Amino acid sequence: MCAACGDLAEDTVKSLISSDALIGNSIELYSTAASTNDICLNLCRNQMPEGAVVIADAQTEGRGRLGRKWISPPEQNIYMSILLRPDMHPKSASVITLLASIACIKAIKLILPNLEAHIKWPNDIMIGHKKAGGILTESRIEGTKVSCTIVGIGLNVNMPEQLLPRETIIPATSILAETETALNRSELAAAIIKETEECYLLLKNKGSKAVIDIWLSMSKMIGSQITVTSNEDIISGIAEGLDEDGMLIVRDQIGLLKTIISGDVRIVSHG
Amino acid sequence: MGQCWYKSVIGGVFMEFNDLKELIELLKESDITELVVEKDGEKIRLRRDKIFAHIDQQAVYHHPVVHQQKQSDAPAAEAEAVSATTITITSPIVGTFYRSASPDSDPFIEVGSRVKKGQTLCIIEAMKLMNEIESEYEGVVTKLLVENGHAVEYGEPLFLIEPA
Repeated sequence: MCAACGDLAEDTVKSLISSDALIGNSIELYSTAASTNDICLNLCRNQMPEGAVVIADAQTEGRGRLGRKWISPPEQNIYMSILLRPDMHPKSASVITLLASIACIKAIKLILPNLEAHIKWPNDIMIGHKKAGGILTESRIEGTKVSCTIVGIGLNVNMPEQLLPRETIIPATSILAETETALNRSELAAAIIKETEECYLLLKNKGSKAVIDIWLSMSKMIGSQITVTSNEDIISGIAEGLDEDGMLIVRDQIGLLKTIISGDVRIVSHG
Repeated sequence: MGQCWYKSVIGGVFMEFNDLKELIELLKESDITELVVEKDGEKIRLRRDKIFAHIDQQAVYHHPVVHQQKQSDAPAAEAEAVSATTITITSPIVGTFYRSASPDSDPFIEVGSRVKKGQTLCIIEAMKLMNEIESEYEGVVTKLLVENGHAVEYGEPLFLIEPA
């Protein structure tokens, strides 16, 4: 662990969130971690209460969906994992993946209100047509109980354009590359933590629909022509909306409505 | 079917899901295979076909069901092939089933694997949420029932385990 890595400082993050906050009641900052999700998973196994946050300046084994590598160099971006223990059935817990993307967009827009940041289903952080951040959520399920959910956030903040990863499914970008503005990572991390708490409490108090409604207001893909790819399946159609669990509803080319549970979504043209 | 899993085959205009569910229930309770409803110039056509079975499963999805059930609850065909003590591990959610953490890594378990309580058996993905399913039992895996990358439904049997 370390106290500070350039503009990323544990004390600064703590000073920007409430002392009685649920999310961020414990914050650990690492100069280098294999994966913040893995550290958070260990906290879960060690019975750490929910709300613990792990942040790293760099990751050596940052990962995305299906073990894809998440490029995680030092002094540029935010790699952060949040430990939650949602008291809900695993079926309903999927909406947490939407919640994290809402928190990131709200936090970014607090600092850069005019930035064209939006969400692509389920939780890619987009700026224009490029991906600036991703969220990998991992849960451990015992029977019909979620023992813990780890929300892993990777957000390209101050990554120069020439260092952006090239071999990605969706073109990558960073806030710096899009705005020529370098942000203070402590400030942005604290804002994400605060927004995550607000959204998490909304989920607990008002249920999934309240979260889904906010998500819909922050996504530009509803009404758009999209393709969804997973394994050998490719579905083309119009994104119609989300169902009550947050799953994507697509009207295919012959007018049938289909509910997508997982897959890589590409926006062909905005509606 | 691959990772994408379709639970509805409703043609025509989009409408509230609660209304759609009511129509689906109407269709299920009858012998008819197709139902067309026109209202205010909008038309909904519901048709029972192969995929409709998933809609039926979705309705079940909302009811509490024990995740890991004893053999007596498993399909009859399996009951003949396994002992009375065999435990069927079922899926707690609808999602995509993965036997390993990534395409390049080893499966969490194989037939013959001895598993402990808390050990990860598989991952079921829904909306980029990777759910690691932990074993509630100690024993030996005797059968794998789902192929990697396939969609699974709520309560669908995944593995058979012979308790230690």
